[in-house]
Amino acid sequence: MENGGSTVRAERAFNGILQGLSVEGVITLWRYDFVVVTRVTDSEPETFIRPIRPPGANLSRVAEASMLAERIARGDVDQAAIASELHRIRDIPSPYNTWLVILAAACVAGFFTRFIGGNWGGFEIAFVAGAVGQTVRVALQARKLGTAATTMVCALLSALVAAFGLRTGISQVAPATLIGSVGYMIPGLPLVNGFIDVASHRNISVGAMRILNATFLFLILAIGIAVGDTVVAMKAG
Amino acid sequence: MLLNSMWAGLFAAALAIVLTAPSQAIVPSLLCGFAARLIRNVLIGWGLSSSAAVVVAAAACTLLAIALANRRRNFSLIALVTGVLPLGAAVALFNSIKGILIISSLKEQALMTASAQLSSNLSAVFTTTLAMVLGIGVGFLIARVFNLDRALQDAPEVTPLAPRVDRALRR
Repeated sequence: MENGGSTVRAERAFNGILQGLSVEGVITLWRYDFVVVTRVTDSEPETFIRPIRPPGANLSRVAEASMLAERIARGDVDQAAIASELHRIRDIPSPYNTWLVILAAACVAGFFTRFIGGNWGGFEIAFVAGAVGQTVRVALQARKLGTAATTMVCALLSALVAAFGLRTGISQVAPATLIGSVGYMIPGLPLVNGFIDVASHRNISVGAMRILNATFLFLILAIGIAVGDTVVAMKAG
Repeated sequence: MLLNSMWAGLFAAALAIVLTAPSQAIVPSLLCGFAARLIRNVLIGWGLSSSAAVVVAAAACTLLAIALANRRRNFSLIALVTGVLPLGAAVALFNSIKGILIISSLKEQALMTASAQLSSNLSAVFTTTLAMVLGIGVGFLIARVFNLDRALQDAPEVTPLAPRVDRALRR
């Protein structure tokens, strides 16, 4: 869940591990920022609470964790090796280097602009805005700044870069270019994970929190776009 | 139409990299983004309403994500996330929020016009989002009927409230 997996997947992986270790009598309660596990042994309940850090995105870790859970469930992993395997997964870095991610973010911004009605001029502006924003985003994330603050700074920066690009007259399609310029920060992962959690009927509160978090990030992006739009409108005024 | 879908596919593939998906997930993301947008565009071109087209496209995207998911590594979630995003009402969403931010400063005719636009945008956002959720749900349901959801770690398990429905579907 900390790395962008759905609660359904986390629960399935956890149950797989319990099955592989032949542990029974476990009750689990999943919430957005913590998980409670209660095990009843000899009529005595034992409860653990584990905090869940604010969600980020490392889907390679999610995939590896699912694979490990499947292997444990099949009995392919020695019990003594589980802790070291978990540490290995926790330390898996992003599979891509920083520059490739910046290039990808620039492409996301550019292609987003194109498919919502922007032209090639808008693509160029959004590409540059996305690259600049993602570069700053990486730097801010390295300084452990919160998600909301990072999103706000990068949204404002990308939207302003796009606004100044539009003012030079490279493109006349302002809405698509401005929206596209922040497209690399669209919180799609928490949104779809939230939908999946709500649809599961078992994790409605986690899903609602994820959707609320995504809505808040959309609001921040929109404020950045509104600021950019004001700068573009100043030209006409 | 094809070109627009191609941009959506490339957007999805690039987004998969930004979200640090494993490299094996990039092609499924590209195909899901392309297919979802193409289906939506074709259906709208045939005269179907935008919401209905999004339901069908999201369901198709979910099924394609499941079909392309590698059984060992389960990349379906990222293909699904990046694939359905191009179906969202992004422009209407941002226009809605912008409308909410400026509407209090408007007066008379400008206020009425902005109110009507805001209602229209909010309606588009709500119905499109609902259509996406419905489409994903329909996709999961079809996968469950055909027993495809073994490859999908994120498919919600059937709630204990509906075991009879589950048994009936599996039959």
